[in-house]
Amino acid sequence: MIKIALPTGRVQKDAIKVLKSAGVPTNNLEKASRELSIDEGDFRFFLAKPMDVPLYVYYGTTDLALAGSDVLMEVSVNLLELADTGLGRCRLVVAGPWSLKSRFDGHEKELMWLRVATKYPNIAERHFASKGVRVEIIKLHGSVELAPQLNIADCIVDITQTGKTLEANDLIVLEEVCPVSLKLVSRRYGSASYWRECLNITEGIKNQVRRYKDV
Amino acid sequence: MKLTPRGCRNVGGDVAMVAEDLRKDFMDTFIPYGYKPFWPAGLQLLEAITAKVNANLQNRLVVTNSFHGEPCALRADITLGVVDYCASHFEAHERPLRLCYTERIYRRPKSPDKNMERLQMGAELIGWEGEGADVELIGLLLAYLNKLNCPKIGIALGDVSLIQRAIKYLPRAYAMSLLGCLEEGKMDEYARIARDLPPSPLSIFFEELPWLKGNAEILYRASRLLKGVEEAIEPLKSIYAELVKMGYGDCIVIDLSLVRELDYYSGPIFDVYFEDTGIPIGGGGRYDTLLERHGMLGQAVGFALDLEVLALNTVKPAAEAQKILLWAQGSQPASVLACAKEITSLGYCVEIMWRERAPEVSELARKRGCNLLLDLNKKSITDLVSGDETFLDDFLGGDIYD
Repeated sequence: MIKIALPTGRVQKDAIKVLKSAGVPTNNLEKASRELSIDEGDFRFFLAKPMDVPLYVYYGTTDLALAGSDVLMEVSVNLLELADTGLGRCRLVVAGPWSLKSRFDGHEKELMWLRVATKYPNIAERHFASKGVRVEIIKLHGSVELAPQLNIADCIVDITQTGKTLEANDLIVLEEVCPVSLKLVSRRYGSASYWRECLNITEGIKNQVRRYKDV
Repeated sequence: MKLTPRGCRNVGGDVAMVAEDLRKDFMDTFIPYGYKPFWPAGLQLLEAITAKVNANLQNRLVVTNSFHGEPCALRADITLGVVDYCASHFEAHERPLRLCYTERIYRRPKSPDKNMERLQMGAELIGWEGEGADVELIGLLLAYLNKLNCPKIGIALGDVSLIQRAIKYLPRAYAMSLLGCLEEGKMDEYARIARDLPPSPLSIFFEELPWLKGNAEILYRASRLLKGVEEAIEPLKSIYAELVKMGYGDCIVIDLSLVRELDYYSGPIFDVYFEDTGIPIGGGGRYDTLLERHGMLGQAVGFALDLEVLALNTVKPAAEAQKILLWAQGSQPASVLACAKEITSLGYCVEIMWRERAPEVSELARKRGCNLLLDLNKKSITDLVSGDETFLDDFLGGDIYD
């Protein structure tokens, strides 16, 4: 039986779509309402919080997982990223009020000790550290866009797809951190049969990605 | 008041007990084959380490000072200590040198791990022994691991020298990008770079490399793809063939995409893991380059296992020696200890309770895992399961202790 972890929330539908297109049976998964463990054919699926998904594979609970590249960067565990599904695309950005723009356009020293609210403390820390800038990270679990308005932070590091939520909260993109998409990940080690299964699913996903590109 | 800092732990109980059994078994496996126990120094000079290990390990050093103020790091790698010891204590003609050890290493943990201390056990073989040395070490390692009551073991076997030879066909920038992707596990990024490689006889090899994992057929596939450097696969083929002859084919997975610290390792390498979960237990391989950096010529191969991971996944043997709680009740210590000695010589484990008063002594004995209670005042032994009582002299076969 092949065990696959999937993220709940924003990209859950994309994750199911990817598996379906790769030939994995997903009828029960599509119908599932509150179940977190769903069996179908030779597959068992686990639905988990996005940040927990990489750990399911790392600790050997599941064989494979679909996880956002933002989560993979944040959790930063030793896994193999087998394929980029091309779905769930968005951007990880530094965003803040217009008044901060001149500081971001200027010398890095202008950014010293900024208060940065984020769900991604590790990525934010690394991003600013790569510029030689030390900032104060404020870890929030949601509604990060509110933080500058409420004077909890000067700016935020978060994902944005269309930019509408940022706009609605009077924020603009100050810097791009990296693009984000949904990836298929496996553990580092496994038997010969494990790798054959991984290859089949990876090829199925890659073929589908090629088809999307051709359309 | 809490004594242990974050990243450190005191470990006792069953885990420590199982780990001690594993350590003993490990030494008993290797010492009869000429491996000598070795204690590496606890501190290593920072200047010497940074010259010999890659940036990845340098970033994980736990830095401190020696008593004399020398900048040092807590021992981060035992192999460095082995090479230093061999370079300073032995001449070339005294090889092959075989060493084995169980020691702690200290590194900044990698996410999601929180511990900076790891208890490692390993073995090293330094000489000019060719592939025989690789087979000896992996063979002994598998013989040891297969004896344990733990989940099925797998070994991923690769060869960094093969990759080192193949990447010479590529422009440096491409080679470094591909190696970086392999090390970081970014296979999607690797595939993107491999598609755009400038034409070379090894283009298909590079395209397929991340998926060259599996059984013997991978070696034959690689032979066909390694156009112009076909012989580079031969050492791995021969090591694999020998291990199969020894009956270990079932647990070996050829993984040609396995790369690890190319500035440290220089030939066949391997990683050990639990097959069902992929949880890594350790790894090793050839490190001739490291030897060279110590001014030594020759060949070196070694491995290290994480003793704690192994202990946490190993079931304690059920057939343990029976435990007796010996209640001394004010008897003379010398005679109590003589009695305990007599009992242990019969194959029992003895725990002595010196206190004179002990209410609920049977319950206390049960809680400590003892199924027999020896009351030295009554000179009798009670079976706590059946309730049967035996006189001590009958139990020992004649002698009475007072």
